[in-house]
Amino acid sequence: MSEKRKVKLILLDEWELEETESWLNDFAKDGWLLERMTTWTATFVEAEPVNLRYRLEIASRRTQLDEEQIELYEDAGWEYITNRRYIHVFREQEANTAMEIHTDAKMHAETLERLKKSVINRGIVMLFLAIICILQQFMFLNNPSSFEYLNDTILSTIFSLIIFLYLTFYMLRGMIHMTKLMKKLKNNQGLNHEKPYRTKLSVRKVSFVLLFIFIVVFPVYLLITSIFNEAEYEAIPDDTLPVVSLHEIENISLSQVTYSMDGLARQRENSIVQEASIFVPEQYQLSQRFMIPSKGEAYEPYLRSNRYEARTEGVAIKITDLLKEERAGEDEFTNVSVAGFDEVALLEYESFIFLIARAENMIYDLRYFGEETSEQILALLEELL
Amino acid sequence: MKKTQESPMSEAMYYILLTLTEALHGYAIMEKVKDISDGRITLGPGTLYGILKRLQDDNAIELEDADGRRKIYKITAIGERMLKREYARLHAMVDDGAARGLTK
Repeated sequence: MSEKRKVKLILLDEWELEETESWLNDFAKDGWLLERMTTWTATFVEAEPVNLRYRLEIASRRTQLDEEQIELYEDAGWEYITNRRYIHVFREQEANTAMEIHTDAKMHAETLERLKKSVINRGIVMLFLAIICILQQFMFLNNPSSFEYLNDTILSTIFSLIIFLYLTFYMLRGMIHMTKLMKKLKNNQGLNHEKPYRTKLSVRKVSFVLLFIFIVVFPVYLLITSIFNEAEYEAIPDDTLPVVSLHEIENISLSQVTYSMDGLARQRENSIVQEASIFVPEQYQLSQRFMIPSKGEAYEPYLRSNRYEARTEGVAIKITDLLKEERAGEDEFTNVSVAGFDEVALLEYESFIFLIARAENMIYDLRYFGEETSEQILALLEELL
Repeated sequence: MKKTQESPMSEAMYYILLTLTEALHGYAIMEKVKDISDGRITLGPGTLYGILKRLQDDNAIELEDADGRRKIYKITAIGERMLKREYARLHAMVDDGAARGLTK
């Protein structure tokens, strides 16, 4: 026995009874007869092409149909084939000989009650969950931190939103479909067993691929980029950098400084890191911390100096505002004007200076601890452009 | 919430009760209904099954001792009362029509 078989994913939903019957019927016309179904798949066996009708029946109480019911259908010319959970599939034994199963539309509607209830219950649970998650994600989106722009976490938020919106839409559509079906039957119209399904099927395929990308490909992409974006510490060159550097502020050559730490700790505190995110494709972070013997034993200034090149000026403005908010806490930045910059904000404490500057889509974010003045830093900043 | 079957009953139900004055199994009921209605009423197996279950719930029909594996149904006293009431109602309808001058 080497009968040819093929297994197909069932892309039609369980509430699409008419479409499924029509889909199975088309397979028979093409010479493929349904053999078995699972929740997700349908197995077909090759046969002579024949126009055999299919009918789906819902078991009203348990998963299985009554034996008596199956016998009655068989007597009327149907053959029991398989089931997909509580949905049972019958096919006529010979083309155009079986008696239509339901001759009373209203009673037919009663047999679908269970499916309707199940779709509506699932829909309500799904909607409830989705609404909670969507609200949560919106609150998050409404109130992002600069971290979310600089790392790609904001994208995961957007993507999970898309997935939840899709699922909500999907269940809503199921509920509407089922309600319409019941209404049709209660108005004494029978089902359309040859309902066209091809457009639905193509749309379903596309949305499944998209969903697959969102659920599988995107997280994998994030994972891979996070692995490759693993920060590497580069040694700091003495010459000009794209950001204000500590040795420029202190006006000293790197050959004249000493370090209080060694090994990895020193590397971490004296490094250049370049990173990227979708919103901010160029990120440059300079960290420096050293001692200057000529300025005394205890003097150990340090600096974090970042430059972010955002994708658009709008994003840059948003990040600048967020950074100011996050750095200032209870205090407030003072605006100063520096030639070439759209905005420059300063916040000074005794020996601590925060500076955030923006020129178009370029942001400079600097934190300095030391004895030098903000004038010195602003002069260096101006030279950068 | 169980609906008890009050008159008027559906045509299909009336004919099923009518055939079950003798004990019959499912498919035989279908055939018989078609036969006694002169082919006017055809009952699908799904519709028949639904009505049989409902009539059974209402105690209008009951199972006879099974003949082999097939279930055999027969009308009960309750079912007979229902059938007679429906017959009387239909009869009254016909009489009322005739009194107003309707003819076949």
